[in-house]
Amino acid sequence: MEKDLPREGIWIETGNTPPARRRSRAAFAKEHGGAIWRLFFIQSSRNERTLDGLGFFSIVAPFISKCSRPGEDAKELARRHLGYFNAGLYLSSVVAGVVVNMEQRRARGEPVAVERIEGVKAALSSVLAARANYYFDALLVPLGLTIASISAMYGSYAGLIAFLALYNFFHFQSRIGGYCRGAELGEGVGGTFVARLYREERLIGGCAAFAGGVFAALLFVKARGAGGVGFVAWGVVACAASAVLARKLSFMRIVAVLSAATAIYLVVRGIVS
Amino acid sequence: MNPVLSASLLAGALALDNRSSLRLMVSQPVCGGLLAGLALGNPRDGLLAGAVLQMLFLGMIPVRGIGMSDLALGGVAVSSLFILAMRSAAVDPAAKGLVFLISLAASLGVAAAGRLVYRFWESRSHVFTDAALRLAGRGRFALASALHFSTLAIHFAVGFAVMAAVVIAGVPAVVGTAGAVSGKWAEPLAGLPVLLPFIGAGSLLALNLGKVRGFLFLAGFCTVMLVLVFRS
Repeated sequence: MEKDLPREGIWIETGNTPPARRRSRAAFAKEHGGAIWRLFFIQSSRNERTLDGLGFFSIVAPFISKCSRPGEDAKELARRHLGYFNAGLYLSSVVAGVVVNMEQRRARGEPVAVERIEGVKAALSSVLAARANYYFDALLVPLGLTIASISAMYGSYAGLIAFLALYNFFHFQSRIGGYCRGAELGEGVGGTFVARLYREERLIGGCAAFAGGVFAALLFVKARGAGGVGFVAWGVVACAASAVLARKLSFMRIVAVLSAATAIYLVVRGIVS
Repeated sequence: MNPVLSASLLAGALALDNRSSLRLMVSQPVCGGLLAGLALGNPRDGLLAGAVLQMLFLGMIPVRGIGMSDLALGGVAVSSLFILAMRSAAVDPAAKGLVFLISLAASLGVAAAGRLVYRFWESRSHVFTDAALRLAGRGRFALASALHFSTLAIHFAVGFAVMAAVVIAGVPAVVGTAGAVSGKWAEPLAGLPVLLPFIGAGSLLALNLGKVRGFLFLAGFCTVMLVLVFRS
């Protein structure tokens, strides 16, 4: 059975049992296409009370009428998925896929309790949100933006294009791939899937740190060329002050204070010289 | 196209990318600045202005619940104000650094205000969920779902309106201020795009203070320096 299944891309290497009911991609896209584009707007109605509850509902909405059991109230199912939901941006699609899968199985008469669906939804949300947010916000985006900034320093767009390509490769893999995986495997989608998806975590983190060092060095090179030792010295002061204040003040305050200080330094330097 | 309309449409689209969770990252200031430059006919200055704003915030990551400034609007604001103000005949080309500084200050204000607007939105937007609950209770699921998507129009409208106000009021203000205070002392401010990114480098350093990543940061720094030493 397993040998017959096509294995490629993110669908492999998870170590999980392949889905027994794997259908063609066309059939899957036809059934889930309506939900997949909705994944990209999940946080549009984010609010303090239910966070992304309405966004989550909008994803499962196309399945509500199909997923209510005969004689069961579809309204009750809708209300369940209009509650609190917070799974971050990138892997909320996995949770949505898993929930759709479980609701579909329940509608077919399989023994899937409502409490189990709610439990899986809550558990996956909290676990996946932290992992994905760290990977994207603390590693991948800083790496890409550092590369884009280095390139922009020299007036080139190449780094920007590289950043958009790198980020969106993982972005689409997480959101579309994550939903597809969840919708096929249900709660069987394991941590190995996420591990496979983000297996480059350490590499990306290392590259981000290295690129940061390159960026800082190139700034000093440019500063020396533009204003000599005075600019280099001010660069050291601004860099150190920013690093020290990073844990004490908000970013906006640091930027405002140090920008003003830099402007004053330049004016004073101009007057003196 | 009218520059106010161009900048406002772009800001609306980027606000949509930033706030709706479409998150293609085209709303990052370096990208938004370039797009604003393209829309206003000066991609080089647009990229420069957007990139400097981006570099200032390189180390800012949204962890532990810290609020994120609205850099999407900030990126379009700094580029639009800088490009449009420099186009004015009243501005001395030698005061480019001063115009950039005022545009940057205005864009920081826009970014901070954008964050406040979004916090206000988050505290009030539960009305959509409440309305959707009532609709779901009546079995009107498609309409309840449509309510969610209607918020996209609000994000676009906020971005559009903010940028229209910023450009209409901001460009004359930047031109006027630069004209009023410009003098010989304003010329050294041309060095700002070289020095301001050090603030971002410092925050990147703070982000990589661990043993392994600190070592890699230093390795990246030393690699560039070694290459330069051997090249010279």
